[in-house]
Amino acid sequence: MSDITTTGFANVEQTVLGADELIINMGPQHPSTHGVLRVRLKLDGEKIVGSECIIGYLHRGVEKIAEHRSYQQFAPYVDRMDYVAAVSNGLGYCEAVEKLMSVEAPPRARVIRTILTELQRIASHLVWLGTHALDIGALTPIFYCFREREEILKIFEKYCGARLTTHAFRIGGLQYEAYDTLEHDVERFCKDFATKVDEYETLLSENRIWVGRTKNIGVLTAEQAIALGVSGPVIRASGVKWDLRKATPYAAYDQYQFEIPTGKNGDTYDRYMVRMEEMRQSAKICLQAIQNIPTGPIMARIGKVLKPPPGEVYHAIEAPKGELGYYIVSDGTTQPYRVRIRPPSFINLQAFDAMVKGHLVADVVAIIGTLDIVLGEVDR
Amino acid sequence: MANDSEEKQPPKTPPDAPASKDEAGISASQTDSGSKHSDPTVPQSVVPADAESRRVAAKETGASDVGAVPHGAEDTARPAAEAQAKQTAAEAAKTSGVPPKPAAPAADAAPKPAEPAAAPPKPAAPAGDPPKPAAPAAAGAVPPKPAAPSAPAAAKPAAPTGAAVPPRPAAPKEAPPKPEPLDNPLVQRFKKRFGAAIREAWIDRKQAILVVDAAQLEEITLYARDEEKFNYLADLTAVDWPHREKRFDLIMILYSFEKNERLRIKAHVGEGELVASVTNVWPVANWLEREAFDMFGILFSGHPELKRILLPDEWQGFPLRKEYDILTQDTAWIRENLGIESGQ
Repeated sequence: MSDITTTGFANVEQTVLGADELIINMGPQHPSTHGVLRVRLKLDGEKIVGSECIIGYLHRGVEKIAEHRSYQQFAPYVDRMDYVAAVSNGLGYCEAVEKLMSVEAPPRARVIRTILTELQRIASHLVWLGTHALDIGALTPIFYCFREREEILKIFEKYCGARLTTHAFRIGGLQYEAYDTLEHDVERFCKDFATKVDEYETLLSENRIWVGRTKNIGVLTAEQAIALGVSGPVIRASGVKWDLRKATPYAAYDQYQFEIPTGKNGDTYDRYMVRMEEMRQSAKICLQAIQNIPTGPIMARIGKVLKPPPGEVYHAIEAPKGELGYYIVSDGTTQPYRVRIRPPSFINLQAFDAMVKGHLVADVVAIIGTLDIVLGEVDR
Repeated sequence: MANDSEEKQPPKTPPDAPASKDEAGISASQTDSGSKHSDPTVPQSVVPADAESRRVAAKETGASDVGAVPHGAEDTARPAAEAQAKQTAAEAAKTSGVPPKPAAPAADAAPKPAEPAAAPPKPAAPAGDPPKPAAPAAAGAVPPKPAAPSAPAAAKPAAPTGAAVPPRPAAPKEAPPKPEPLDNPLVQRFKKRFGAAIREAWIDRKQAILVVDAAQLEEITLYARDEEKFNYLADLTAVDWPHREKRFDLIMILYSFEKNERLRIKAHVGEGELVASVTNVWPVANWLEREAFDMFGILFSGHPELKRILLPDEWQGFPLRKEYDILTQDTAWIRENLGIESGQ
């Protein structure tokens, strides 16, 4: 036994019980890993003393594919990274290429993009909430969450025909005009969505089991969070008030009022609260946006063949999971020379080891859930 | 949208007037001169060749968009059409004093500005200046500026010079976004501190880039983190320029919460060369450096456990290198581990 335990782990402290360590393999086919994440846990009794994430099971070489496709051809691929938030991925990519070409989408397109992206944020958080609660043992929320998510997917379907991997945006703007009742649908959904969030909260926020399973679990201090490069709700729950929608506004976010919720303790409960509040804020943004959708064209005047001038650009957006960045190098041809995707899930997952040490095995699923990873994006 | 399709399509007839020939010449030379911006240090001759080979490779692999012939044709056709449009517009303006009613193509966009008989060929002026020619691509609902009329004419600056010979084929709407040397206080502070180790400083699309000596990477990043407050490493990655002496660009994208600013640090790294790991500066670099190793084979010294992260540990080859074709795979590994002949 002891010879097994000494392999494969860096920086593991000596355990109290010495030889009674145990290595447990979790995944890649484990329901609570949200995909194909494999975790090797080193245990002392039931306490975790070390961990290692083994990823890459879903690696498709997206960045390599990008170099062999034209700029437009690559756009649908990005939807397949974070497949529960495809719209956000598309927004980041389209805006990055637009920046590379120094064009801007027309105002109407930007507002419609903002609406759809915020709906997508809500949908993504709803998937997170449902599955996270399910992992911890609360069976009910997932039914409510998917009920509301369905409404959002219906809006996407009406808008562009697809529900999941939408390819909703195009470089330069939008392909489709908003359908006639978009504003009405969005308004109807967002108006009473805040009360729905309250409903979820009555199920969880003061539930003794929920609180017991999430408070002080997987704590990240602000310093740790910055050093580990986490982003999105994870860093905000640690008290860093940083949201790219405010810090470096893109799309039409500079026109709307909204709050950036932050937490204090950086534990699983705070991350839960931050995301809950973010959903309310997203609904608020949508309601503001539909009040005034500018008229005009929805597509900037760009050619059918895109040849961005040589150079490079980094553009990051606040995806539901965190900072989603695209670093694109152009050599002046129709295909990108290099596309680097900064995946929030990948980098957030790296913090897993720091968060899980010292906790019990049962907390592992809570911590994986609270990081809100999507393996399609981790592995790309 | 209809409006982006028509403008370069019209002269589908290939040998279109003398103009198109001129333009062909221009655009050809353009690719050359343009490419030198792609990376300041790349020998000029290198990139076009590379680009060409990529095109060929793409064709072979079936990435069909760049079929050589139609592509080339489009290329030449487009500037020609533009030039013509511009010329007619300019002439019209001259003779009538009426704002250039943009020639046939591109007409549909936006409200055709009927009112502004006011200012004559003003559009020429703003077009010249790079920074922010208010003409926000055709968006022009009702910009009071006379620049408006030029909006449909394409937001392509109505280059008054009759499209003389200034190159640049693809709709240079705004400032030609070529990297320019950057010399702001931040760069000066870096230079003062590290002297020649700060090799170059560029600004590209309003983003600051610092090219530094790989040997001093750790000191420079520490300084950037502690003194300049770029305390957040957003990303670390690499780009392969196989024809360069030191083929890799190691790229770090830093962010400062305090200044709300980004800074990109680049270092040239040769194949097989050891470069200092920045995991001690930013722990987040751990996985990012592993990925750079996995995909490019860049070696980091001082990394706690430099091994593959996305690909299997025993995999041979580094997929994001340029010579690694998109269909390449480690067949031995696949045969051994998956029991099949090909993973494609």
